Amino acid sequence: MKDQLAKILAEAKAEIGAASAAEDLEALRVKYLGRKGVLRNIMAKLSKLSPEERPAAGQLANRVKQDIASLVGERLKSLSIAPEDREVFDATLPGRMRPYGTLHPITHVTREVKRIFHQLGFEWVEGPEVEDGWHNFDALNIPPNHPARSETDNFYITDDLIIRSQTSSVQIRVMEKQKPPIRIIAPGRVYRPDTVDATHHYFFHQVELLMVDRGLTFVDLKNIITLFIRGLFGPEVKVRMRPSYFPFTEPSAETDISCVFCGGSGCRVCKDTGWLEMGGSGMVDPNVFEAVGIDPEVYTGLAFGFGIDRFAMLKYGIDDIRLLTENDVRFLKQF
Amino acid sequence: MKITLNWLKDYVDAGLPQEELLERLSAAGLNIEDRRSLGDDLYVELEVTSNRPDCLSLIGVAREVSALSGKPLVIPTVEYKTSGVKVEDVASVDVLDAGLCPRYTARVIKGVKVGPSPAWMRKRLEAIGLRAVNNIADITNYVLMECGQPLHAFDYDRLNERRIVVRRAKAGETITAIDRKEYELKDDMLVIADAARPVAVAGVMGGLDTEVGDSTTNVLLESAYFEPVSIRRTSRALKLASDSSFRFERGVDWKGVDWASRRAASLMAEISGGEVLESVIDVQGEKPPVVKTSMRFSRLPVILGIDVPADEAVRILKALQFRILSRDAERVEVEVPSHRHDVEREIDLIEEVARHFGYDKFDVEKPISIAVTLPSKEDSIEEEVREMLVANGCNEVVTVPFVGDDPAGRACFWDAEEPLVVRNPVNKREGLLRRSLLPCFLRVKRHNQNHGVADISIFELSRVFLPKRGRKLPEEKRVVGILRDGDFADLKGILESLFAGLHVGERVTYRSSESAVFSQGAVITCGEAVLGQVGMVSDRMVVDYDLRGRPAYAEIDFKALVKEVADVVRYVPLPRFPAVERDLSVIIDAGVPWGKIRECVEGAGIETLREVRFVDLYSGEHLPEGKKSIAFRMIFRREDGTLTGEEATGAVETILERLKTEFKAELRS
Ligand SMILES: [Zn+2]
Repeated sequence: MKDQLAKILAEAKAEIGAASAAEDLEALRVKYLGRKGVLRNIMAKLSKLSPEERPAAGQLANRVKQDIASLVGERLKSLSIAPEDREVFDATLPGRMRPYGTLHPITHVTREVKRIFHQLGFEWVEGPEVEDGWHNFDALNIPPNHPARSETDNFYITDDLIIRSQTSSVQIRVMEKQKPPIRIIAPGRVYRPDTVDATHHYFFHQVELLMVDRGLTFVDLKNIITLFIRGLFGPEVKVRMRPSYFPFTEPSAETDISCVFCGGSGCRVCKDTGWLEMGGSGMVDPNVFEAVGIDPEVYTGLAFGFGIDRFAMLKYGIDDIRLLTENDVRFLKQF
Repeated sequence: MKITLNWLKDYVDAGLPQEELLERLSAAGLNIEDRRSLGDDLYVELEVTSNRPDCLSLIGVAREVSALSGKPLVIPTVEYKTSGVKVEDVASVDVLDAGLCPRYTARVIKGVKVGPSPAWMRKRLEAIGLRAVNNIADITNYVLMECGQPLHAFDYDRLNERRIVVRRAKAGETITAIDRKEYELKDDMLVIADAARPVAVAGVMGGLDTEVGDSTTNVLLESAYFEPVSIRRTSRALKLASDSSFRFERGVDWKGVDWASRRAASLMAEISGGEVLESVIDVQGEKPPVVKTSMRFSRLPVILGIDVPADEAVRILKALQFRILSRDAERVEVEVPSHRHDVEREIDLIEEVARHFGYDKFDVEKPISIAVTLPSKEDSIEEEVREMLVANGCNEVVTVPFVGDDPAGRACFWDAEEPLVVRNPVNKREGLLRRSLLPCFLRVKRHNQNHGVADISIFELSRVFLPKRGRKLPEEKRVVGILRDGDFADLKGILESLFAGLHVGERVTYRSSESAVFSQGAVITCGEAVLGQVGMVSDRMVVDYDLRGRPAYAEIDFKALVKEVADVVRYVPLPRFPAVERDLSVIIDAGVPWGKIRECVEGAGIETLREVRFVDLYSGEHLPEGKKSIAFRMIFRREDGTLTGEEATGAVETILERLKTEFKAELRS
C-alpha cells in the first residue's frame, strides 16, 4: 500500500506540473481527490489491512491527499500569476508605463532653499505681488523722487499701485505685524521692466531673508549667507562680499561666490573673473526700522535678496533665462 | 566710470601692483566691470552705485585710492593770466529759478583758436570712449571726466545781448540740441536762455545754435549746480541723457563748481591760446547745508560684529576727507565733505569704516542659534498637490501673469472687478493682470503645439489678481490650474485622484454650468464650499489661440481646498463583518444625470448601504429612443452582524422601486 501511495503521489505531481490551465487542474483534482477519485479508492481498501497496519497507512494516505491538494492549489496560483499566452519571455518589451510629470526647475531650487532654511529655523512667508507705494518704496527708505521709483524700473498700475520690483516689501509687511525676534524667508515673483534676452527678463524669482533680533551683526550676515550658499552649491564654494548700495540696508553688500563651473580659475560663465554675482544683502537700515516702529538702538537686523532663477540656471547649466517661462514641455521634462 | 590707470596716476600714485590696486578698488565698493589692455596702459570700467556720484570722476576714484593706499591725492594746480577786462562788463547772468539752479557761474575766454586738441588729450578721451570734437568741447569733456563737474561752452558771440537767463521753459518753446534733434520743452523744464530763446536744456544738452565751432573766437563757459530731481525728470521726459545729466541728476559737488570752471579756463588759455577775462559771475542761491554728524565707537561692534579700533576708524574717516570736529573716548564728530551727499547719519559713517576696513575682515566663524519651525498646513498640502499632479503625468509650468485683452485674457472664475491694467507693460498687447491662469496656459499650449509637442498636461500653483470693490490692493488668490489635451473625463479623473489623495473626494460634487470660458463645464464644490471649475475650453479660445484640438482646463481655489482637508487624519476601525455586493442595471431617460441617480439610491433609506459605484453606461441599439442604460454596484454591510442575502435582495428591491417612482426607471433584463 505504501508503494502504491508513493506511486500515486509521483504520478499526480507529474500531471499537476504539466497542467497548463485551470480546467485541467480541476479535472486532476476530481481524478485524485474526487468522490470517485483514486485516493477514495485506496482509502476504501484500508479496511482490508490488519489493525496494526491500518493507522500508519491511514496517516500516509491522508498526507498524500493533503499533498496533492496543496500541489493543485499551488499550481493554480502559479497559473494565475504567469499569463499563459507568454510562451517566450521577453524582458526587453516595453512595460505599461504610467504617465509621469515633472516639477519646474524653479520649484526644485525653491524647495532646496526651503529645506536649508527650515533646518535653520526660518519661517516661510509670502507677501502680495501688487503693492502700494508705502511697502514697495517709502518704508524701504526709497522716498518720493528717488530714482528707484522711476517707470523704467517699475511696473505701475496707478501712482500708488506697483507690481513689486523686489521681495523686500515682504520685510515691511512682516515687521509691521510681528515683533522681534523675527526669522523669515520669503520667496516670490518680482517684476522689473527690461528688454528680454538670454540673460534678462522682466519677470523673475527672488528669495528674501530677514532676521531681526538683539545682537545680530554683519558677521552673522556673512555666516548665514555662507551657510546658505554652501548648502546649495557644496562645501567647497567660496563666498566673497563687497560693498554695495541698497536704500533699505546699510552697510550693504553684494555677494559673489567662486564660480561653480570652473572653481574660480575663470571660464565663459564667470567672464574669466572666477566669481559669480549672487545678490544683495546688508544690515537693515535704521530708517526702515523707524518706518515700522522697531527701535534701531535695541535691535539690529540682517537681510538679503537673491535670485532664484540664477540659482536654477547655474545648478542645471541653463544658458537662456527665457526657457524658464517658455514652458516648452521638452525642456520641462528634463527636471 | 571709465578710467585708464595712467590717467589716474596723475592724481594719486598708489604704489601698488596693478592687480592689487584693482582688487582693493573692488573691495572698497568700486567693482571692476570690464578691463582692457591699452599697450602700456589699462582701461578699466568701474561700477559706481547710484549713491556715490563723487566717484564719477578720475579725481573721485583717486580719492578712494588715496584713502585705501595712504598715498597723497594730487589736485592739479590751476593758474592762468587774466586780461584786464572783467567778465561782468561783457556778460550778465540772471537766475530766475534759484530753486532749480542754486548756483551758476560764467567765465568768458576771448580769442580762442578752435582746432583739434593735442594728441595726449585726444588719446585719453578716446581711451574712455569719448569722441574728440574740437579743443574747446574736448576740454569741457576732459574736465568733466577729471573732476565730475559738467561744463558747457557757448559761442559767446551768438548769445543775444550776451546774456544768460536761467529760467523754466515757456510752453511751446523748442530747441534743436547739438544732437541735431528738435525737442519740445515743457514749463517744468529748466533751460539756459539768452535774451531771446533757450540755448541749452539745463544740465542735459546744449543747443546747436550756440555750439562752439570753427568760427568761434569767444567762449562763455558755464559751470553750475542744478537741482538733481528736475534734471532727471527733464532727461527722462525728453528721452535725452548725457554724461552731464547723469552726474547732475545724482548731485555734483557744490564746492567743485568753481574749480572746474577755472581748470577749464586755464586749459583753454593754454591749449587754444585764449585769454581769460578777469573775475567770474557766480550767482548763488541757497547753499546746501554743511552736514555734521557723529559716530559712537561702541556702535561699531554692535553693527559689524568685529572690533574696529577707534584710532583705525578715525584714520579711515580722515583719509576719506571727513573733517574731525571733535573726538573723545566714546565718539567722533565729523564734518561731511561737500562731495559726499550720501553721508548724514551715524550708520553712514559706520559703513564708511566697514568699507575701508575691508569686508574680508568679517570672515569670522560664528554659529547661528537653532530654532524649530514646522511647515504650515498650507505649505505641506502645496507640496502634496504638486507631487500628486506630477504623479498624474502633469508637467509643472511657471507663467508670466501679464495677459492680453481678449476673451481668454479676461477669463475669470472668481468674484472680481475689472482686471488691473499695467501702465507701462513691456509688451503693449499684454497689459492686463490675469484673473485666471487659463490665458497663460493657452499660450503655453500654443507654444508647444508650434514646436511639435502635440499633447500636453500642465499645471501651476500660482496667483490670480482679483480687484475688489473698496479695497486698495487686489485679492491675490492662489489657484491650481491644470490644462490637459484630452476629454472631460480625463481631466476630471486627475481631479478625482487629487481629491481622493487629500481625502476630500467623497464630499466633492460636480454640477454642470454654463460659462463663456467653457463649451462644456462644471462647477466643483466640496460640501458648502466652491472649489473651482472644470471644462472643455470654448470654440472662441481655440480659434483665438490657433489651437489644433480642444484642451480641458480646471482651476481650483487652493485656500478653499486646504480648508476642506482635515487637519488630522482619524483612523476608522475596519469593518468586522463581510459586505454583500449587488449590481443593478436600469433603463432610464437619457437626460437624468448619474449624480441624480446616485443621490436617489443613497436617499432610499437603506441603512446598510455603504457605497454606490458607477459601472457602465450604454445608449443606442436595443434601447428605446431617448433612453440610456446605467449599471451600478451597491455594497451593503451591517456593522453588528453578517448581512444575509435576503436582506440585500430586499434592499435592492426598495431601491429599484424608488428609481421607478422618481425617474420611471425600468429594470434592464
Ligand atoms: Zn567660471
